[in-house]
Amino acid sequence: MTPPSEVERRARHGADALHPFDDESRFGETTLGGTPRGPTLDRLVLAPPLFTPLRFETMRDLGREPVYADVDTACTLGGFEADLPVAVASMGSTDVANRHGPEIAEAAARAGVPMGVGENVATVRGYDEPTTDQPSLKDRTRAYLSRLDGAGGIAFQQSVEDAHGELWNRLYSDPELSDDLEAGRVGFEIKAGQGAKPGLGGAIRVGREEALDLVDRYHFPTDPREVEQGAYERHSAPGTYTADILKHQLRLMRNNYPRACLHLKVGPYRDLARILDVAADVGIDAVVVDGAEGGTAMAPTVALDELGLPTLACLARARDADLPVLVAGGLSTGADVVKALALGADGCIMGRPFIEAARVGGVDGVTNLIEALRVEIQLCTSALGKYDPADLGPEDVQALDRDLADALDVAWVMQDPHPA
Amino acid sequence: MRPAELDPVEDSWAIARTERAKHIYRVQAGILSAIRKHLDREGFTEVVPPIIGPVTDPGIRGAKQASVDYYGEEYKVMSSAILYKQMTAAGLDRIYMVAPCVRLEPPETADTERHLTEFFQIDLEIKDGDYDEAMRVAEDLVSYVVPRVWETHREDLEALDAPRWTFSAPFPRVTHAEAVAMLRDDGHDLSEDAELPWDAEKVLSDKYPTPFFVHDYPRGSRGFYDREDPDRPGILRDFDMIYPGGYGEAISGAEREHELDAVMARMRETGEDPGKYGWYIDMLKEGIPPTSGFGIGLERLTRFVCGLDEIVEARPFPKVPGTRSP
Repeated sequence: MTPPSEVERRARHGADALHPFDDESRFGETTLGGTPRGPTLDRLVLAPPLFTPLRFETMRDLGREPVYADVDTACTLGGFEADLPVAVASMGSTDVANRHGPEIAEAAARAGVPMGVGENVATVRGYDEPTTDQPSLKDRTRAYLSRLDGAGGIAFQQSVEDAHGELWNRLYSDPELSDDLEAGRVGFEIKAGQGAKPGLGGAIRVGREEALDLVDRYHFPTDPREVEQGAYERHSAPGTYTADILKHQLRLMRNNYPRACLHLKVGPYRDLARILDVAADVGIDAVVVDGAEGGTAMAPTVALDELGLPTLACLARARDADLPVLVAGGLSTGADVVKALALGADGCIMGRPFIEAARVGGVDGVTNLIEALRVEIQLCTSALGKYDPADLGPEDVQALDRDLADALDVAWVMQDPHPA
Repeated sequence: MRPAELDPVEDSWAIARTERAKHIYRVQAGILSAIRKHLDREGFTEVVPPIIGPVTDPGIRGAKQASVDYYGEEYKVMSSAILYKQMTAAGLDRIYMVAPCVRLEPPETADTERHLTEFFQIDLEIKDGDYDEAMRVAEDLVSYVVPRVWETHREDLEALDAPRWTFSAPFPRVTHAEAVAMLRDDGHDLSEDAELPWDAEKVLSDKYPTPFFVHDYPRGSRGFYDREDPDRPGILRDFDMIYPGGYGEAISGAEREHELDAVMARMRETGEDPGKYGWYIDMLKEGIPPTSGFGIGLERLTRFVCGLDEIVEARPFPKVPGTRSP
């Protein structure tokens, strides 16, 4: 139900009231996320046992009692080597993500954390030479690749609009990326949706000058050539798919870019299981499943509140997929990561926490956050008697609610699944 | 031989007047004139190709298009004449274009010995033709041109120590699936859903004494304009012609996808907005007859006829992926 104050806003502003920001707003300063509806990972607890055969094995291998720091968080994530089962979400051209992009990139590279670069960055911010007062795509790429020393990898999204500029072909034929492509550190991510606005294309607000520059390539509900105002909404297309189109697009990508890892990012769609079947059938490096709690710089309020399945529901549908699944959407702590892995995810993706960390302390802020994530993952995993996060399983979580326990096929906290 | 101290790419301006280069360029002129003679006689009309346009062949395999600023709009330099061939063939029935093409190929293709970023292609199209007919035209063309050039340019070819190819149409045909099976038997790890990798194609090319066709590629491996077989979903009615002796791909051709729904779905496979193809979509909406056709690269044919190790010798002022040159 829309509260009366919302009706009043709509009566005053029409369609402009459908977005959380107005002209005087903090757009570009902060991020948004879908309101959690239904159960979240908070309705699960991690359930450590006393009897821990894997700890015994680790003790035998080490020749001493294991501690949390013995948990080895290194893994493969979407085809990349990674030092943590966590990657930085593909955040796009929007002010707040792009401005902090190089700081996040530097910290992630130094920590061996893979990173995505979202859509529209080259189109809006420039491919190499910056076209605005913000970092270009290559600025963000160099901030990452120049600091990489060991694990890590960078995946690039190309939107429908970026396809005009052939972003993937441009990256693939860019001599500066040759060595990294050869080393398996470059990936391409097809964006087929986003948690905060499934079924809708990207939407952001841009200034007048930028709007005039982009008016031919994107949808502007208010034409900057006809109406003079401070800022304009800019929409991109969501892209049209059928199972057939998706299957052949994935094949085409595999065929066109054999040296690049291939990721598919999808929103919290009701046909998630079919999507995962198609992707598994072709065989790609990862599907990124972004739940409805996923973040965004801007989305209509109705999308944030009403569109798409909760992250936990996506996880439940994706856990048995026959290919690596990376889960995103409102995750921020090491405990979230451990729970998601226990439920069958192969890794987690986070966006907003890294932006927030960069806002607090730049590169150091992001480095600190990653370090805290790493230790928290180690603490939780070792508490469960395991020393490789890949060993986590459904036995490691229990649900606070009986329905949820049944739905996820995990134990209910009120009932011991293995009574003595 | 070319002077050892000259780099075939960076010193191409100096190479252009060496004895060896003169032989090659004269053979190339002979090839072009033999192609025209044959096609004109076969009822084809030569049409001059467009050089730039709002869109061009999206191609595959990661090659980027070159752009020019066209009165404030971004226009593309033609990577092939493909999009324009259907309409001209609809009007003139059988057409060909001697078309300049620019493809900014990935640097990894620099050492395939057969990729240039700037090259010429004889691009032809046949109204109401199927891909069998296109293959027949291709084998007749190559079977005519090679001996014809030996008639007209024997001295140049002998000076180059060129191989004496002897073959005649029809050329052997294998399906893509058969080619993959053959190569797998030889220990190559290949996908049945993908275009043949360049090294595997070279192996295949070494196996045959005559040019041959690989046809029926899987969908997802080629451009949106190669027609999917309505009776065999997932299989395209298309082909490559491959030279023997390790010289690799000579020709790519196909029946054209000409129905709007099919083209739109196929365009989306590249992640693109069909709106980008504006006039081409309008043409399909209006309706266009079925056509088939192919493109044969002039420099590759020159390399094959002259027996050159490297494609960079097969034209004046070669441009190779990733290198700046005259």
